[in-house]
Amino acid sequence: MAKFEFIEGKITEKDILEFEDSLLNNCGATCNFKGSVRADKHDTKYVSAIEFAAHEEIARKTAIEILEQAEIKFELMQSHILHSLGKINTTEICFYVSVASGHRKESFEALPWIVNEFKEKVPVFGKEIMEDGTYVWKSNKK
Amino acid sequence: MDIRIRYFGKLTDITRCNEELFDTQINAKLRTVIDDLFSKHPELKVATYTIFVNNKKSDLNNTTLNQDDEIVLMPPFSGG
Repeated sequence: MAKFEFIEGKITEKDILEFEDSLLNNCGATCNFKGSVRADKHDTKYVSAIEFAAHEEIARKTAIEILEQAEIKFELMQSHILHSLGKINTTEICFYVSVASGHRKESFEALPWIVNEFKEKVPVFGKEIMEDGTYVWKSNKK
Repeated sequence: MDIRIRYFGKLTDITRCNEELFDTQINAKLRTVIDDLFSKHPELKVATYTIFVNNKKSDLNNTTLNQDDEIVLMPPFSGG
């Protein structure tokens, strides 16, 4: 089953536990990815947080479409994404993806595909806030 | 008629707002509205963005606008 949610603020282990269903009887493999805010350097300044915004309606629809596609393409039994909105500090989790399948191969292959599709196609925008309060707009590497 | 236009990400630095109402003629072409927007926000001319009308990617030359339509301009995505 495909599930997507936005979380206001950082993603906590509690959010992840509440979000995840108990595994189906026939799932033999699960993989998950946790993306956190990195203290990138821009010129002489370091990123201290990222503030995320999204076109929520299009984002929800597109994320679910990606997950549903992945479930067919990789024969997944479950696929979930959480993404943060608002200000997330460095080291905190802002992006969580998990998949479950009968065997490991499908989950291993599906996870990076979903992460990359999400980054390319889902309208979320990050503003990198520096230690001194200035900012630059985040751009994703291909 | 008034059309609502929304901006995201770095485009909000150019327009200095997240959204605005834009007065245009009934059944105006999307291209006409975008050209008029360039007059108001010249820096948009060199910006990179995708245009959505009523939540669907829309073609500049083949889209006609109606009352209460919503245009959204979005720069390259940077989530995850």
